Amino acid sequence: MEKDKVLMAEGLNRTAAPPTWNSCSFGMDMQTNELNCATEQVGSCFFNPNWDNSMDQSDPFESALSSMVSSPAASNAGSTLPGFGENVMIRELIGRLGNICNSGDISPQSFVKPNNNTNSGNTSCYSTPLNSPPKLNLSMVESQIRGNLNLPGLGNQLPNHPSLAPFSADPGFAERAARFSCFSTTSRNFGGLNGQLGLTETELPQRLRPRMDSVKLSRVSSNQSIKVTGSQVNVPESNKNSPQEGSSGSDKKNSRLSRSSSPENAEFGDSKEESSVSEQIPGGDSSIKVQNDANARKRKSIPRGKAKETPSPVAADAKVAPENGESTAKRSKQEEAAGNAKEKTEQNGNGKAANDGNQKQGKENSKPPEPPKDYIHVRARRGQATDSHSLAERVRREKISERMKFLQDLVPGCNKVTGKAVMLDEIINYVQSLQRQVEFLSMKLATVNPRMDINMEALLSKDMFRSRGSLPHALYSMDSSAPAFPFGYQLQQQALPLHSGISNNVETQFSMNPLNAVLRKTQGVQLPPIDGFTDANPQVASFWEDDLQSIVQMGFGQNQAQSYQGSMAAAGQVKIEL
Amino acid sequence: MASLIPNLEHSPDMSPEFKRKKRRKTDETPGPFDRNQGSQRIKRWRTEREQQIYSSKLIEALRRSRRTSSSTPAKEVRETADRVLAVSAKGTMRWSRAILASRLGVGAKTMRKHKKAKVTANRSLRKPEIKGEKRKLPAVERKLKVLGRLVPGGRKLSFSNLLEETSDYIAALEMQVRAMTAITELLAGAGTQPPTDRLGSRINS
Repeated sequence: MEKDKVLMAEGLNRTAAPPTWNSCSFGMDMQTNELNCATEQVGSCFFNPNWDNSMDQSDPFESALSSMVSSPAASNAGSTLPGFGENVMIRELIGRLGNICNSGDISPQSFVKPNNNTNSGNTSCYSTPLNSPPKLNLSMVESQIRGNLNLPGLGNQLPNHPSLAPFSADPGFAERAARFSCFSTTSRNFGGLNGQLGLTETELPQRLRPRMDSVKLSRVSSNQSIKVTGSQVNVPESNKNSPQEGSSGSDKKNSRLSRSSSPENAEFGDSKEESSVSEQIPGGDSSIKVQNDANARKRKSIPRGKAKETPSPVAADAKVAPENGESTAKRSKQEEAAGNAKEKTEQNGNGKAANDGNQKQGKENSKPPEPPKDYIHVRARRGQATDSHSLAERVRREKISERMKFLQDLVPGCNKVTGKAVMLDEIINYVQSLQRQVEFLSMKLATVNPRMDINMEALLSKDMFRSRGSLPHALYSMDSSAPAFPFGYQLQQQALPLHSGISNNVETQFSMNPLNAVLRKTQGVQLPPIDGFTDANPQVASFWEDDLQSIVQMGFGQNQAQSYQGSMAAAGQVKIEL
Repeated sequence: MASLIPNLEHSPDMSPEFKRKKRRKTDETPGPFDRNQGSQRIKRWRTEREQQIYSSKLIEALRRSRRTSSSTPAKEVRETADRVLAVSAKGTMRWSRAILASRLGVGAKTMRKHKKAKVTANRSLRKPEIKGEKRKLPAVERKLKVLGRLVPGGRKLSFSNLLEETSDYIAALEMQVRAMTAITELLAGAGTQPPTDRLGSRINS
């Protein structure tokens, strides 16, 4: 019993840490770990705060659990199949886990056949809401359980047990399943410990009864007691009563469930206590009530319950969908039309608060295990068509409108304009004007260009020969260090009269007037520089190039006007010294 | 830049297959991120640093290109300026790659071929006009075509991609105008000021 408690505590503790849970949930390690620590009081596990916390987190699961547990408890009174109960219980829980979990395939699908009425699309409980292919590692669990529990004749009886009925999507199921799993893994080794557990088994239900503060505990205990008695658990009936189970899928829950199932099977053996326990269980009513809220809760519980690393976008979507009816995250399919269309419509359905929560969740949960695809995620807004075509169209339109808004900011004077055609007109005009300006400027540069080299050489040569060194010093200083500042500073005073002219040109870039003015200037200036400045000194030219570069940099690093002043002042100085 | 060239050469060869009114889809940037990336790109064009880089590159290119003047100086300057602008774009945008491709001459020839072929195809495909009714494409589409012609490499783009290219192209053009104006001012200003009138008096005083 102490072992059981510890085991349960361990299971609960692990539920609090999903990733580790997932990794080792179905491993033999868990069993050994749990068993090794089993010496402590097991009863404390029922009061485990983790347990309570996990319970609190998954309110919808309570009812499912209760229903699941209650039905076997109720049905347990009469029928007994020796040696069946444990494994049956395990199978039931596994089956339910199959609904929830999407991590692996569950082999015993044959179990499920007849009683699955709840989920429309689910012929087997293992293929229900969460995934079309239930990917659950429970197969591992099962194998392990089978290996450990050498119950006679179980293997033969297992496949055809009709009682393992539909594990339909139950919001609370996953939670409960996960909780049960903490018992299940422990129970694997309990096969050999039955003798020891006999006392504990009896003690546990006794302890449980006075401690039925949480319904879940009672359910667990009753379940366990059912298993232990070995009575043929009409677990299927319990399953029937909880048709909504297993909606939210997380490895955590699955593992918890599997682990809980085995200890349940092994621990408790008193059918009488079961019945008493079961009475205290609220029964499946709450589960039915939950069903109505299932749709809303499922989506919320999914992100909460998810222990996986990947489905953050999906979880976000799931959270967003119910909370924000007009969220616009969308999955747009680019290549996989059919599959994506399904996902889209499903997600759209989610966004619309449709009622097929099971299917949606199943398909929603089918997304997380998929590798995150490289396409845009969109969610249909409320009241809008969920057709794949219309979705794609909407995405396209939104993209276009977004870019048009961007262009509106870019193109001056487009704020008042609405409508794509007029805006396009404006954009075209603007682009044309910009290109024309570039044409003009290039023409201007072309005219200035031949003068550039000559001018530079001449200027530099003049500096070399005639200047008293103020300008060359300035040039040198500019070349050597970051002297732009002193240079510009020197000339700034002298360049004041030029400033107005420069600023005019700078400010009115896009008007024709300054261009004309500059053109006139250049034309006027063209003649004088041509005469006489012919000595080309490469060194001087290089000086001037560096000077020009530094001027450019200086000008752009600081005030543009300053650079103009500096350069023009320098040029003016050079000219003066001529 | 060299790495861009082989890629550019391929695209013109492929285009004859797609030329018939088919808008080839460029790689679609994810919607939610587009705004961030686009705005970052466009803000880049507005920085002083970019303008400096462009100006210095342009000056260098101009100095070098004076040796080999293939066409009229103005056109050459214009082409140089555009080329340097495309280089400054670092090949991120389609228009920059188109500009660089066109400079190679290979792309130009194939594009000329495509132009002719395109015209004939249009004529053959166009349905006979109903009397009195002028058959025009929707206004938006017409303007899209015009815009596609304006933006280099924009003829085969889809609507949204074309808009994106246009926004980046506009930002780049604005920077180009600013830089060229500054350079022109620098160079023109070097010779424009009357030597003695203002500065002489200032210096002497």
